[in-house]
Amino acid sequence: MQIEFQQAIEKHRQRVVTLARYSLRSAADADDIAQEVFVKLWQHWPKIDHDKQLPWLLRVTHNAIIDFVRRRKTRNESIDDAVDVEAQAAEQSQFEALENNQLTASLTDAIRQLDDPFRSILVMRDVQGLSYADIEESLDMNASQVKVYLHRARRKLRADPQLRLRFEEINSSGDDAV
Amino acid sequence: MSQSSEQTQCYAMQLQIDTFLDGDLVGEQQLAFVGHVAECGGCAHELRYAQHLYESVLDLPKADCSDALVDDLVAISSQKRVQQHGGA
Repeated sequence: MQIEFQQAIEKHRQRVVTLARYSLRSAADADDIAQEVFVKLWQHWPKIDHDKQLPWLLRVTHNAIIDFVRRRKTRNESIDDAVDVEAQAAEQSQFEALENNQLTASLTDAIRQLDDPFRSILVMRDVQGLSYADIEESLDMNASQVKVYLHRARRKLRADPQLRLRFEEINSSGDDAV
Repeated sequence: MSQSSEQTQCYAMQLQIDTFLDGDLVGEQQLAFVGHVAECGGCAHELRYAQHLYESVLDLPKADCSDALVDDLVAISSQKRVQQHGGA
């Protein structure tokens, strides 16, 4: 059981942390979420349908993020923001290095500002490339509901003025990335 | 075609952009969409923008947790099973 648990961590750690990281600004917070999720996996190991391990993990991650954001809103936001700034300054992971690209940074910010379930569905499907079946199972939705939320999430991103500005800048500079 | 009719048609076409990007727009709907985009500069621009953003999202980096966290989790599983509390 211990070996299988370790294999599950290796197999799914990136998916769990990526979902958390695109919801929360701090990598330390995303790590806390991942720890909470995998501890729950260990605690519930005998009861889980392991054919549906990934949807189970995504559902627990999604719920943990919602709880985390709810708890944070009840705290003093100015203190919280200061902690976030310090944490961000200390973090020099590959993820942050990639975020330095202006469009990527604007895109990441815009995704973090989406409400749930728009954000979770967009991250699961478009950022992580997860199957509709896994997303449906994890959020207890049907396929058409997931697609409606996904398309609305993309339209919300397209309506973001910062992203549109970046696109127009890239377009006008002759960078033919489109 | 009146200006408001054109706007309605553009709105309807732009609502189909994501279905098109997902490859789910087929048959007459696909032909109508492609035909409209070929004729309408505004919708062509919106499609380019949507494609660009879509591809940028696909290329976004994946995050990972620290190895220290994985070590902690492995240590937890090495110990006696943790006390059960709380559900999923």
